[in-house]
Amino acid sequence: MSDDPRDLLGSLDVPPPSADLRAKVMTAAAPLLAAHVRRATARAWLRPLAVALVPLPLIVLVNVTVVRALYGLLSTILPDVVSTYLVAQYALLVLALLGLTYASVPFLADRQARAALENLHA
Amino acid sequence: MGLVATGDPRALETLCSRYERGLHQFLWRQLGGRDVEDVYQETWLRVVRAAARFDRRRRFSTWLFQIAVNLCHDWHRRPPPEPRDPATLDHGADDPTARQGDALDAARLLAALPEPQRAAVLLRYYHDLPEDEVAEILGCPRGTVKSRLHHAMTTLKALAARNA
Repeated sequence: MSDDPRDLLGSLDVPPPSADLRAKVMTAAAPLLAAHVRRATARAWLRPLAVALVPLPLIVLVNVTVVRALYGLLSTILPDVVSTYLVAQYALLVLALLGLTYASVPFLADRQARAALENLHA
Repeated sequence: MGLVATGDPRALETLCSRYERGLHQFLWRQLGGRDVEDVYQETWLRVVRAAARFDRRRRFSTWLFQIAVNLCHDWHRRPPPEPRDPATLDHGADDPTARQGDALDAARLLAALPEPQRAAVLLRYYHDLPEDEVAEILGCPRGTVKSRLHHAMTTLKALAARNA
């Protein structure tokens, strides 16, 4: 007798899987897949946010230096009140621009992440 | 597999259709036809859950069968089901092993093997996997696979001789 168990066991025929088996798996896996989508979107969203936040201290430092230098320069040729007003105006403008820029980062990152995910799944 | 980790249902469906038959056959033979659909479904759910941790250098089929083998192992360790009222038993109607003739004998012979030997026989001879891959799936050295196959064959021959 050979050493192949198929000689003893035969083909061990198995009935085909039920027609709706795959559909059942897909239904059961749907919540898990949805969780994966949420995680992938969050990952894609956090990356650009982190990249945008890294240079923020440098940007703030540069702007503080510029504002101080501007105030020092203006106060030598203009009255203090006018210098303060102009520098405050400038500082507010820079602050508003920075705020708008950083506030838009999450929205843009989210849009980009969703588009990337849709492309990946297309 | 990377797409499954990002939640793509079509990627999962493609994998399911590719491995449906092989996995179903393995589970059917390993579990003797009982709870096959539940274990099959749980195998895929584990695949989806662990998709992000899948090492892409490995073969997907090896990983899939590893999960299936572990689930079969858990299934075999479960306590036996509560005995049913004998009056309500429909003998043979829902027992997939209750078939006539050779098929029944073969199923009984296979069921008589210890679970690790049965898994080795099924993977090596009914799924035509090389011994290295069987060893990886079963998480043991190649030599152990060889010895399990040898012992399985010895047991099968002895049982067949006794039945004859």
